[in-house]
Amino acid sequence: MRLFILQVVMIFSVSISAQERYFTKSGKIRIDATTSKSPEKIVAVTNSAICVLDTKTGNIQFSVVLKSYEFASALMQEHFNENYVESNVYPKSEFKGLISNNSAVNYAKDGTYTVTVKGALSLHGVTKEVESTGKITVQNGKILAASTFSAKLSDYKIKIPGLVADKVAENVKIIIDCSLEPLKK
Amino acid sequence: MKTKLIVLLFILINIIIVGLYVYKQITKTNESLTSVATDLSVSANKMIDDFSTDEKIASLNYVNKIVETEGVLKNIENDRSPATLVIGDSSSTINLRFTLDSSFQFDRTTLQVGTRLTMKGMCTGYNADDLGLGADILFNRSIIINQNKN
Repeated sequence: MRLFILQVVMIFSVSISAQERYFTKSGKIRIDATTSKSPEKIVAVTNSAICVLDTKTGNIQFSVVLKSYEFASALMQEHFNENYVESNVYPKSEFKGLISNNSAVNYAKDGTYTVTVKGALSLHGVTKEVESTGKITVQNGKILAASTFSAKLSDYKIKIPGLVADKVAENVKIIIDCSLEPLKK
Repeated sequence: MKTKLIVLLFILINIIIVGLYVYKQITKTNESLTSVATDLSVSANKMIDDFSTDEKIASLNYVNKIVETEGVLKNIENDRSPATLVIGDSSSTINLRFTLDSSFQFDRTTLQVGTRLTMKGMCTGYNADDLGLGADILFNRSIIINQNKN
């Protein structure tokens, strides 16, 4: 009887820990550098962002291959990769951070929770501390992570040519929209 | 006088040609891969071997190239748009992830895990296994060229 109870407790423990980590490899991140003087929208989307969330600790990580960003304009995409982010030299952008109010999120109950995330954003060879608010939505066993924040290009040594200085936003809007599933071991 | 007119006409024609070229470059969009030539044809297993042997050299050979590759469908991620098809081998921790072109139409009901697919996509890079999730070779704007049940 004791052995049976022990086995049930062990199985229960394993199933809980298996659901502590959630991930996606098809996270959506949109970047928008459009200004009022831009002749066209300067927007790109990736659907290949990796996101991993540890619900127990609140640790959250993102990783994006920069060449996976798609622009409507082929020329804009070329300039983005070759002149702005230099993706041949710095192929990825990463974020490693922590949900600072993780204890306020009940991952076992469907609901939407406002969170604060702090961490290190690495882009173009530069790493900076950033902080942002976001939303964690728990829904039918999945976790939706959403946030909108800005990154100043000059903070990451990304130069905007003088000719287009008023047409490309100095502060790029970054919109995150990821649907995470339990990581099965 | 006649010579001046000819020179002027020559300059004008050149300005128009350069102007048209610049306009074409500025307005160029990413075309559907159904009408773009393939740069490389290679099996999925060969790409996996190349990236696992030497990521840098494989990246030089494949990234920014339009690649046609054949492999077995391991997973279909279609809860969001655009869908992603994961091609690979059950024994390998490296997969090929094809994010489909949002304008590409296909019948999802005919796709099953285990189907042998020929895919065409723009190789955008490689995600090494930094987070313990397995490594991936990434493709954008992807289309299905052919499918055969395994």
